[in-house]
Amino acid sequence: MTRVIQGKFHLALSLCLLLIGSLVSGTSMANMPILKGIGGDFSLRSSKGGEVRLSDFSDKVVMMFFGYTNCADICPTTMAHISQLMNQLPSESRERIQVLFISIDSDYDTPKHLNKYLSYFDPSFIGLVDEREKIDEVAALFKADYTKLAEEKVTTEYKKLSLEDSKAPKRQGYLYSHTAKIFVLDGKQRVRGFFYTGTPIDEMRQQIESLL
Amino acid sequence: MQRLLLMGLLMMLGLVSMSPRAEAAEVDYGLEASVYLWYASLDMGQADKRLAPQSDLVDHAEYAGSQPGNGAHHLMSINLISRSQDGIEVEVETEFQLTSPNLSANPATDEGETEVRGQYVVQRLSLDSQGLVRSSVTLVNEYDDFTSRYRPAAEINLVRAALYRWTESLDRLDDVALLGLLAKDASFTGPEDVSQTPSQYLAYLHSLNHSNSRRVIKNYSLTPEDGQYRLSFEYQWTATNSDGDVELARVGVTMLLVATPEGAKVVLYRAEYLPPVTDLGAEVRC
Repeated sequence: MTRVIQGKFHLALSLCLLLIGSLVSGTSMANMPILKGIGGDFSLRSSKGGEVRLSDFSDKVVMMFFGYTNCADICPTTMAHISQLMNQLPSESRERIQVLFISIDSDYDTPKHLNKYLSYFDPSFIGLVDEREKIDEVAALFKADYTKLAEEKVTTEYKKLSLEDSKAPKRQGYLYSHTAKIFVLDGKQRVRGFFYTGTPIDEMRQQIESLL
Repeated sequence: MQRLLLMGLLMMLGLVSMSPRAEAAEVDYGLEASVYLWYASLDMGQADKRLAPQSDLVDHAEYAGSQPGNGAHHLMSINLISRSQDGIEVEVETEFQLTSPNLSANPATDEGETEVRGQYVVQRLSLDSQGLVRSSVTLVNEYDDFTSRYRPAAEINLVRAALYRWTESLDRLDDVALLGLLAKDASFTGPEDVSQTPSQYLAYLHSLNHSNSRRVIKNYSLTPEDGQYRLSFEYQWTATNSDGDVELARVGVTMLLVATPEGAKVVLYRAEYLPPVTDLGAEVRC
């Protein structure tokens, strides 16, 4: 008799856990909706040379971040986070994903400089930079806020990722406050949502794969 | 012990299934428009216009001697009781202020200084499929223990009815209803292209082939302004596109409406996309 009760109890327990599991996974597996009123095509100078348009990445899922190489914390952390995600994906998925780093510091960052910076994380990442007006237009399209923190330039020597030739004269750059969103775009360049440095890799992977 | 475990599991289940997924009941803007229009017409002394051809009992119990006259119905809640193909039954909670004889000749719009004794009124309305009133039965009619300043409600009820009708018609893409709500020479700016006329914007919406279009009104405010009413709010718009993907948008809207005997008309409509709401706690900036 006790075994029968135990059996029923275990069955009820299993059903409850199954139900909880399905509810939790159902929430996180929801597809990313299309966010209207944000985004659009643009062209900027590429770290790989020449000029690229967003529409050049048709049929690829794009993860796009607005930052600058002098950023001491959130930019390298975010790039490392995306790099970690990319390393966990199979090569056929990686080929269908493009990471774009749009520099908001057109005073300091150059395509060559961006290429060196991004190669620390993943050589496939592309950096984009251009005249201030063009960067502002792109930032406005994506409603990506950024502001210069002060008009005074500061030393860049504190940077953990030193990009400058140790023998070259030290340069100074501005500090910026900027959004920490990773914009996720589908193959039709429509914004489908955002990731952050704190977004779990598994969740990012699941969402990205749902768009591939 | 087993009982405790089972109770714990059930409580967990309750938390998981209720907290993140609990959704507020969906507001039926078409129904709200009909109810607001009914009370606006009562407050303007034109209830006959909103009565169904085969109306039953409309008791008017809130009025002295059950004889409808000028007054102000301030709606507090509209609760759906039942819905069928034939029509809808709702219970409406209002604060009713009967016009004092001391008020001026135009009590529907004039805000007098007179203190009146309000009434808490609950009525059950039966509406036909066109939103016309078949019956109105008063369930509660209690006089307040205090007096309050008389506040006209007719125009505000008209304006709210127009807003809800506009919203419902945008979702249903009812061009006739939408264009009928626009005043002649109304200023219109849609969220897509500022140069689009209302008809062009509607044609664009039709071309999207959306299904399940649903606009929810958030952060609504209504301010009287030089004989007009300024509405400011946000549409949280979801729809399914022809590929089966869900689309989301936040649209900030400003409307100016003017109340006329034929109903409120939109004299200005400005809509623009707003940035998506993101988790501010997670949005670190450096």
